[in-house]
Amino acid sequence: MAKHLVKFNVNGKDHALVVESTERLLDVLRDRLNLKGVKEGCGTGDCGTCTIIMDGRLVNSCLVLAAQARDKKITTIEGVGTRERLHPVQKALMKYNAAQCGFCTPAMVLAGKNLLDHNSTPSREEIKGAISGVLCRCTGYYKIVDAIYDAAKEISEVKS
Amino acid sequence: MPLDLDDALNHLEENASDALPIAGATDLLPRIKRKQVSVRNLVDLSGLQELRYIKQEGGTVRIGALTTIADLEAQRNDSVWGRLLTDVAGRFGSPNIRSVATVGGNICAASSSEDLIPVFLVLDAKVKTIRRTGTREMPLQEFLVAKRKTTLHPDEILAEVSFPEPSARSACSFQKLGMRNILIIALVSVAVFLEMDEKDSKIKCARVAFNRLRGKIPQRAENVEKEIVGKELSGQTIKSAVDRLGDELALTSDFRASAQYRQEAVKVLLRRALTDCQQKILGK
Repeated sequence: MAKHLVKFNVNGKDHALVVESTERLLDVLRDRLNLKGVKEGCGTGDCGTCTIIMDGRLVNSCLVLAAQARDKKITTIEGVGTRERLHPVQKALMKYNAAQCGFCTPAMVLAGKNLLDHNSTPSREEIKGAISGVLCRCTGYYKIVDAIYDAAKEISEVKS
Repeated sequence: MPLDLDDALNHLEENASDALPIAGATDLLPRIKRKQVSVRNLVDLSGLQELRYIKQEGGTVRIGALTTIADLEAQRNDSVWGRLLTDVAGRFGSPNIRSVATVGGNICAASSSEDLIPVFLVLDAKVKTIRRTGTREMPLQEFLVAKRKTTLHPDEILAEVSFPEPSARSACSFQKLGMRNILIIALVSVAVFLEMDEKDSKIKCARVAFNRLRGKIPQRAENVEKEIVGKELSGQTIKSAVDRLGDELALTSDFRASAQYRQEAVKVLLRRALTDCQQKILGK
């Protein structure tokens, strides 16, 4: 099996790793960089719990080979907010009780954050579209959509 | 991981016996996980920016094989083809998959779950392939052989899809039926292209393609097409097209849906697609 030297940036930190051809980015993030906020649900691109932001786009890290992440800028949930200073989407999800089991929550935060990074005044339909790749089996989505809508308002109020 | 097209083609030529070109890899990785494919020498084409483009040249639209589905969704070309591709891409997989999945990958995967294939079939698309020893161009229909089988040689890659720019007197529709709106493999899907004559009174050209018709690969429904060409675009014509469809169908059952269900559902979808085209033509 061929090995590759891959360099990429995760949550602001540069990494250089030797990876095998078929190693998934998901496994590298979880097992080698210890970023356990990246979850594996289905491993086939259906559930979206392994969502990360790669070069400004949402991707399923179970469907990306680690070697394909070379020179990319990656954000995982560990790179969003801190305990003291949560991201507006995180704060809003708490306010709206929009997490139950919590398994999809890291991915939902990233989907919400990535939407608001590109569009600070999304409609509810646009929010639904943005999170449509992440399955939540608990909440029925309403509270998540409400929370992201609220976070968008908060961000635009801070800006103005 | 080749750096440019030349590098990729050299690598494929040298390793033709076991090389497998990949792009978004969204189709490959689940198949590796399910042990449906054994991993060979993967050649990652996803970095080949030179094959990532959408352009219009002298009446032809050219789309590079490494164009992502998200690129198709984001292009806002206000034309018959532009609106069609944005619509199809916006219902493709999920946003996470659209970020990396490519036009070329969707075509080369060659199965009934690929939404773009029926769409490109009705746009009368050609595909261009490249290898060290030269390029080939052929109609998409000839490129597709059977489920997961194309005429692509082991040392060759799909470089481009092109189709004639549809005239302003034409309309397209893509209808897909699944259990939910997003992230679903179509149980059945249909794409329709209709072009009216100069007086907008009769159908001059009709192309109709289904994700499956006979066997498990997208195909054109030529009897349906013949049935409606030369006729007025009326409710009666739409009904005769739907009636005619029965002759062409040999659908199969699988875990997603039974043959009988598909048999009925395709008729509904065809009627919706033709009615959608009718409204677009009347409404313009």
